[in-house]
Amino acid sequence: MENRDQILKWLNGELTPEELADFKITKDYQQLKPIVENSSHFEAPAFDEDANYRKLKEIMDNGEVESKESFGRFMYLKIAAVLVVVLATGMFFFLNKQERISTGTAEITLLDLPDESSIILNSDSRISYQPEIWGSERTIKLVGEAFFKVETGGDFTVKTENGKVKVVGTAFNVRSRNDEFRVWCYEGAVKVSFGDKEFLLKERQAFFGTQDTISKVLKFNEEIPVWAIQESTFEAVPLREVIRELEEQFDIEISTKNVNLEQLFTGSFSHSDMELALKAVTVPLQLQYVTEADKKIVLYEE
Amino acid sequence: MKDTSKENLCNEQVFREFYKHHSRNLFNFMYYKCGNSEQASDYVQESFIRIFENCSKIIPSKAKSFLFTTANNLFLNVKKHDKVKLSYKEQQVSDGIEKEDPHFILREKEYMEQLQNAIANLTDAQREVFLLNRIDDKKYREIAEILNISQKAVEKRMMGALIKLREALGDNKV
Repeated sequence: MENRDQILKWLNGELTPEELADFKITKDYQQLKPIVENSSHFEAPAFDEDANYRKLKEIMDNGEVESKESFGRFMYLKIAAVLVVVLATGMFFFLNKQERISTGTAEITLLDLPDESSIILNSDSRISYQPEIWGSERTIKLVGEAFFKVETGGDFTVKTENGKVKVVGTAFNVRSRNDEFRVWCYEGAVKVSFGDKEFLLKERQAFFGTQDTISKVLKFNEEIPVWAIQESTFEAVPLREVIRELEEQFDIEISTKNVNLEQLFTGSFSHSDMELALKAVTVPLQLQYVTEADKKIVLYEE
Repeated sequence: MKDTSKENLCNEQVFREFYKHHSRNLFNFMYYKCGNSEQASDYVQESFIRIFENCSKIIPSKAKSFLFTTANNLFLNVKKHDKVKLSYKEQQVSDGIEKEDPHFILREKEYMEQLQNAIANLTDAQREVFLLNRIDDKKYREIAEILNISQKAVEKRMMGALIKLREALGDNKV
């Protein structure tokens, strides 16, 4: 190409109108024009800036990454620093040991906290807390949704990206997904901090807030969040207990014929459909069942 | 003493601004390299995490360069990449050609496909320079800064790209 400088200036938008006019009559321009102009019509695929930032922020807020301090330039300082770090890390891990629990899609987990308080963690959610200092500071970080049943004691705090919930002893559900923040109080009372405002929820009151809308407090009736009671899961549990759970869940009576009640069952059943639940238990154990009368079921082995 | 904590990237506000300013550009840059938007997003994510991890050490004026260099290094660790595919916007038609003319639309489609192929066949170094200039409207100086090379080197890659593209497209026109 003869007009190297002109071409480069052209692409960098540096040609004056006169220079451009001169350049336009060259062969180089004629040949490169379609290439250069059409290339500008291409675009890279879409990039969702906000969604990506939220993901990033979740990772950062959960302490999975920590910003590091810089440590001077000199070797002896570095060595000293390493020692400090080793000691500090030891202390840090001793005092600051993080317990982290997360759930995947369609997975619900029941957890007991050191003081007998319990949490049901809904799917796609994460919590973390520090068991070593649980006695003096009951604080939990939550991403997603969870139901808390809190034993009486000192302050119990749930921190989320959207807001904070503080209680003394009660049962409540917190959902903090994206910028949606909702809190349902099932027993006792909870205090919700959202932005710079605070809301006190009494029993059977719920708080709904997002960044853009006006927050509100509503009444509700359910005993426990629907999502938390949808499934019972067992791991190597005697059939006797599984049957008791079935009876309780569906308000039925189950009798058995020729069935070993001590055999172990691993699996789960859904609370939404009794037939499905009965199959979930009987099929893996190669049992049959019949409905004898309303709410009376017989399990038997063939 | 001057309080610098407000300005450094450990401050969430500052970090958010920084992200807003550079994430899309960084994504494009990485996409021109790897041709896979999921991978490109991961590089973006990982690079910003590195920035955050080192937020107290990074001088704000150097943060951009650090960000792009980090992403570049992350990419260099992974050798394999996909063919870079680009979509294109509907063009404004001039020169009195009817936009609905099926011949024209077909020719345009063919031409754009050839061009896109030719771009994909550039060397990685040529392609990223060429696309940063064409799609992202970056000046050579800025590209040099992003890639951590001299402006002369950018110009050389640019010319290399043009020569190759002209060879590939020949006298084809839309």
